[in-house]
This record gives sequence, structure tokens and C-alpha cells, in this order.
Amino acid sequence: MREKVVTVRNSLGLHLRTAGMFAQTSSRYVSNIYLQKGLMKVNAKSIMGIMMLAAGEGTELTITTDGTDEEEAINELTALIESGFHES
Amino acid sequence: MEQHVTVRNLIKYAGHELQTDIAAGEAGLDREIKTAESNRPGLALCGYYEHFGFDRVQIFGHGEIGYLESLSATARFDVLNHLLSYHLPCIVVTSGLRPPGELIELANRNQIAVLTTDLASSTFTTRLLLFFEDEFGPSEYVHGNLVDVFGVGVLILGQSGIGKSECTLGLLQNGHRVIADDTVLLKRVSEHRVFGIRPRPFKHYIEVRGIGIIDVVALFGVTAVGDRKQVELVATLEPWNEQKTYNRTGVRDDEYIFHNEKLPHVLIPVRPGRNLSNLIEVAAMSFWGDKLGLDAAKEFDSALVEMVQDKNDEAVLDQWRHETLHREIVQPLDAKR
Repeated sequence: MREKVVTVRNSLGLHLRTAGMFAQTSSRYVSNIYLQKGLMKVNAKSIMGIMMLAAGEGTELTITTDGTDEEEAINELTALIESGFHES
Repeated sequence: MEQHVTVRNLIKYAGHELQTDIAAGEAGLDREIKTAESNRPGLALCGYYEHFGFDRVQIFGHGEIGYLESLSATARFDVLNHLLSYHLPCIVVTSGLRPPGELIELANRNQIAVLTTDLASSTFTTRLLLFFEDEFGPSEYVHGNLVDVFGVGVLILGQSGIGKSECTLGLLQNGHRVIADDTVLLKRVSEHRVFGIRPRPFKHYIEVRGIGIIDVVALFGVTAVGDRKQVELVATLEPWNEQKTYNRTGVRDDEYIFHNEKLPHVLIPVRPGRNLSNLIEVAAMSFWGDKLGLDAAKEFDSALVEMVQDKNDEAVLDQWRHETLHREIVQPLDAKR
């Protein structure tokens, strides 16, 4: 199991488009992937779950990956959030 | 998940049930109650402070107030001064008794809320503990859907993409009520129940692959949604596994355990051609039947056992065959007219 704390960089946070990107990226991996904000922990392969977090700019999120491709998954997902989803 | 219960929350959410009024120490309303118990401070008032449960809600009933009234004003002040030097979460004076002036004064000074209630100590304590059980019960977010099917709260679990949302959509079309899609906050409350709560006060949206995000109320109306429901049945959808033996008889023994609370659990294998929402509906009906004492599998089994043990089986069977064959055919009502 791998775990990493990341900070949301883009100004709109995890809204529809970015949550969709995140869920789609997560879904390519077989590992179980979770995203946590405070006490709320959701399945990162689900757009609705991610949107439920209502994570805005500056929010700290914990990504957890667990499975055979956990290493690649956490690296790509961390990069995705830290690059600000290629948004400004 | 850690719970935060302040005196303010206690009054806000249980004030009606506990019939509390604030008598003093309003500045102490944001004190946190960390221990889900109450304490009668009689011994402490008499000076015995070993094992004093100062971190609990302090209940002053007839005993405590009567004792305090028997003291002189200075003694009363000293005794209360000692007690209130502890970091007490709050004090409750029960049975409609009046808190002594010294208590009011010291509570204001030490910022400890004093609440009064007309309830007797025992009634108050019972209700308080029930509230604590609800508040301090463990809770957790799970990935799944919660649907009220014929009044039975069914938690639908399963890996991403297995068809939980499609299943929920099917249930909505059959007139059932969705509580939460995708993420459900489960909470154990008093009397061994587990509640499922919608995680956020957004409108109800469901995401279905291929269609996108839909607005449940806009499409299905206000009766199609709810905010919370007791979870009574758990249904896990999983890919059909050839190696696995599925429940064929309906004798249920599988359980889903949420913080020591056992919930009946059905495993539903997913394969093309199986209508998941129908299956969930029948599982809920069957669960309800079980509650009413109807157990199809058991009933069938005992009828069979009876028949097996019947020495006259052949004769009974023969009679059945003849009777059925020659029975007068009952026409539908319309046909008779």
C-alpha cells in the first residue's frame, strides 16, 4: 500500500472536468485507489465520489493506492494533481 | 472517525428530548464532552475525590442538591469551589431543582455550563446515554449505493464499474427511493442499528456510464430521494466467478459486519442477462418475508422432509395425481360471465 499527501493546485479544484480526469486515470489501474479529504474517504475511480469531496484550491488530499500497480498509479495521480491538471 | 460532541451540540440536537435549559456558564458551551458517560458527584461533594469521573457529564439530583442545601453558605461555596476547579464538561441539575446561587456564581466564573431539566435523574441519564450512543458510535464512508427498497434499506456494494448505479437507476424506475449514490456515510447508532446517511447536502445526482450525470429529482420526482435510512440488508455485486458456489437455496448465513454489528449479506453475481435491480428487489422482499417469518427455503425443506418420512408416500402421490387431473377447472371470473 502506498500513501501520499498532495495539495490541490488548480483554482477550480476537483470540479467535473478534473474529477473526471482523475477518475479516468485511476480506472486504468487495477489497484484499489482512494482519495481522502479530512474524514471523508472516497473511491478515486468514481467521479461522483471525488466530487463529493468538494476539494478546492489549497486542499490537502491523501491518495492511497493498494495493488499490483500501486507504485505507477500513485506517481501518475500525484503528478496529475500537482501539475494542476494542466489548468491554470 | 473521531467524534466531536460539545455541550452546545448536546443542547442543539438533544435539548428537546432532554428538556434542558441553560442556567449558567454560557461561556462553557463549547466545551467538548469526550467521555460518553454521566457521573453523580455525591461522593466528591463529600470530599472523596479518588476515582472522580470529572470528564463526565455531572448530574445533580435530589441527593446532591439536598446535601448542598444542608450546608452553610460558606461550606457550600467551598465544596462547590473544589468540585468546579476540575475541568468538568458540564453540570446538569435534574428533577426541576433549582441550582444553588453558589453553583451559578462558580459556574459563570469557571465557564462551566449548568443546565437544568424537569426530567428525573434516571430518565435524563437514560436519554443522555442513548444520545451518546448515537453520537459516539463509529462511522465510516463506504463506496456504494443506499436505496430504500419496499421500506428495506439496501446497501449496494461492489467494485467500480460493476453496475451499482445502473442497478440503482433500475430501482428508481420501479418506484424505489435512493438515499445515496456512490458514497454513503455509515454510522452505528443506539440499539444496534446502522444508519446510512447522504454524505453531502448536494442535490441527488447519479453518474451512469454512457449517459453521464443525471438529476434524480428532476427525472423521478421528490418521492425518489431521501437523506438517511437504516441499513438492513447488504447486497454485494461481483463478477460471476465460475469457481465459486453461489447461494442456491436462500438459506442465509452470510453477514456483513460493520463495527461488530452484523447485517444480513447477499452476494449477487453479475452476468449479462441478469436484471440486477429485479434481483435486489426480490432480495429485499425476501428479507422482509424472513422478518415476517416466511422462509421459503426452510418451508420447502420441511415439507420435503415430511414427505420423505411418509410411509404412504406412493398412495398420497397417487391421490394427488388423480385429484389434480380431475379437478374442476376454475374459470377466471370474466370467463364465467
